Formats: sequence, structure tokens, C-alpha cells
Amino acid sequence: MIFQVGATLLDACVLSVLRTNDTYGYELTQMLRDTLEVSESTLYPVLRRLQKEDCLSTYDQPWQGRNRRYYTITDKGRRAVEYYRTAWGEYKTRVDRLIVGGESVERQNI
Amino acid sequence: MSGKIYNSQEYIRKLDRLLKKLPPDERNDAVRYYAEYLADAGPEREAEAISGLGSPAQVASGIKADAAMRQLEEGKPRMRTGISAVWLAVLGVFALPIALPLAIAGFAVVFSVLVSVFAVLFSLIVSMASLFLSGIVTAVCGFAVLPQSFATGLFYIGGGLACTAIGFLLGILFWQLLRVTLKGVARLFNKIRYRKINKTAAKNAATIMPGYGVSGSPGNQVNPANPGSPVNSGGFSTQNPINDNDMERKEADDHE
Repeated sequence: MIFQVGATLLDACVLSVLRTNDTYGYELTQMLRDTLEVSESTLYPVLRRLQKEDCLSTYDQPWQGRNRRYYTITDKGRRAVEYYRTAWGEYKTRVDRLIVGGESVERQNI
Repeated sequence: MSGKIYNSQEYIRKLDRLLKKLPPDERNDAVRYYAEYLADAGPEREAEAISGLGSPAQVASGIKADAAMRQLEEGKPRMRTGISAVWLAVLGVFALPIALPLAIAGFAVVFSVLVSVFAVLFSLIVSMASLFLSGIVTAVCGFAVLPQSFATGLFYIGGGLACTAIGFLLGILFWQLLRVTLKGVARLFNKIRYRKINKTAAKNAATIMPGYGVSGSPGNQVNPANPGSPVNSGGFSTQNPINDNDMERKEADDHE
């Protein structure tokens, strides 16, 4: 992907994934990397910050003789996701209008 | 990126060491996350995961930058220094009745030491000069006495010349001593002054430091979950080569 992913977009993606199901660090990283080109060490600071801002919390679950830390979304996180969804919708439409819309205008001129 | 190939254990140990300046809670959380990350990658994808994460220094730099940003936002360090400054002022006011006489006494001690040093120097000069001059006078007297009593005259001349010579030698010795002392004092003062300058420079550097290594993402974005507080992320700083160099240097310092 050639477009850079900013901090806010990353927050929105992480919270959106957690909205549907709880998950752990490695899996979350792989899920995001399926779509976004982020380095594998990008996610920890994001998770830590979201946790400090009470947008997500953690719980431990035993797995293969050790504890695995799962991330789960909080109420505050859910409110944030709702906000991000509307903001993203608006942003997407406007960027579409610029990029895709601009293209069709050019075509008409030719 | 750095040449070394780590296994999981080495990687985590190195990361732990690099994060030792963080608060224990931040450090433990980060180390645990990465230990778990590598465990979840499993033995067959371990090498791939480690190379994907980048060097421990890069990862540590990202974590530290993020922690520093958060601390800055919470305003903790600023608050603490503010309070301590107020307390220092209050303490200063209360200490005045004791501190003022103490300061005067200290000043008096320094002054008296200076005076006594100068007195010693002055007395040395005077005794040297008197030895020199009295020697000449005695020698002249000796010449005057010579026609009346040859032996007495010779004695006076000899004694006088000896006195002059001793005075002259002492003068040379004293002059050398003075030069060495003055040079030493000057060097001492210079050292004190430079140390002070270095200290202020270090302090200035320290106040700038916490923000280091934060790069990439735009500074102020309003966070919907917490409006009013800017959202910052050090998340991309691991991709910044300048930052990485910074970390390597820090690491080298740590090993000293």
C-alpha cells in the first residue's frame, strides 16, 4: 500500500477489529497486516495508549500452559468506534470525490 | 537491520535491558507483550517474527518514545517541578533567619582566609626585601668600618653580602612559588566555571530529551474518546533511521 497509515486510522482499525471479537497481540497484528502495511512493532504502543485511555482493557486466559493476554473493547472504546465510523464515512466520500470524481471530470473534458 | 540474529530469549532479554529506565509497570507490560508475541508466533515462525519486529533497539525506541509522549501529555513532570519550585521558595523564606547569618559567617571565613593569605604573602615580601636591603647597608657599613678595624669591616661586608644573597635567592624562590600558586588558582576557577556550564547544558538537554524519537504522524489530532487531549503515536518511529541511531548511541552509553 502506498498510502501512509496515521495514528488515528490505526486506532480506528484496532478498535474496529476488537468491536467484533477479543483477540491477542500476535493475531491482531496479523489481521491488521493483512490489510495495512504496518511494521510488526507498530501495534504495541498503539495498544498501550488505547489501554491507558480506557478504550480497551485486557484479561489473561490460560493457553498451552501459559497465560495469553486478550484485548477487549470498553464502552468508551465502543463510543470511539462509532465516532470513527461516521468520520471515516465522510472522509472516504470526500476523498472519493477528489480522486475518482476528478477522474470522471477529466474524461468528460477529453 | 543490525547484523545480530537473536533467538526469542536473547531478544526479550535485550529488550528488557534496553527498557530499564522506564517505570517498572511500563517495562513489564512491554516485555510481556513481546515475549507473548514471539511465543504466539511459534518456533517455526520465530525467526520471521523477530526479523519483522526489527532490532530490540528499534522496538525499545518506539516504546520509550510513546511512554515519554504519554507522560508529557499527563503533565506529570511539569507538575512535579512546579511544586518543588514552590516548596523550595517557601523553604528559602523559612530558612532565611538561619541562612543569612550562616551566609555572613561563610563570607567572613572566606574573607579572613583571603586576608591571612595576603598577610603571609606580604610578610614574605617584606622580610625578603629587608634581608636584601639590610645586607647591602651592612656591607656598606663594613666598608666604612674597614680603615678602623680590618677584621670587623670584613665581618660586616661578608655578613651583609651573605644576607643580600640569601634575600635574592629567597626572592627567586618566592617569585616561582607565587607564579605556580596563581596559575593553580586560575585553573581551579576555570574548572568550576566549566563544570557549571556543562551542568546547565546537560540540564537543557534533559528537558528536551523526553520528546526525542517521536516522528511521523501529525501532532495534534482530536481523540473522540478523550476530546481536548491530543493523540500522539510513536508507533511509526521504529521506521525512522535517525531515531535508530539515537538508540544505538544510548545503548552504548548504558554499557559504559
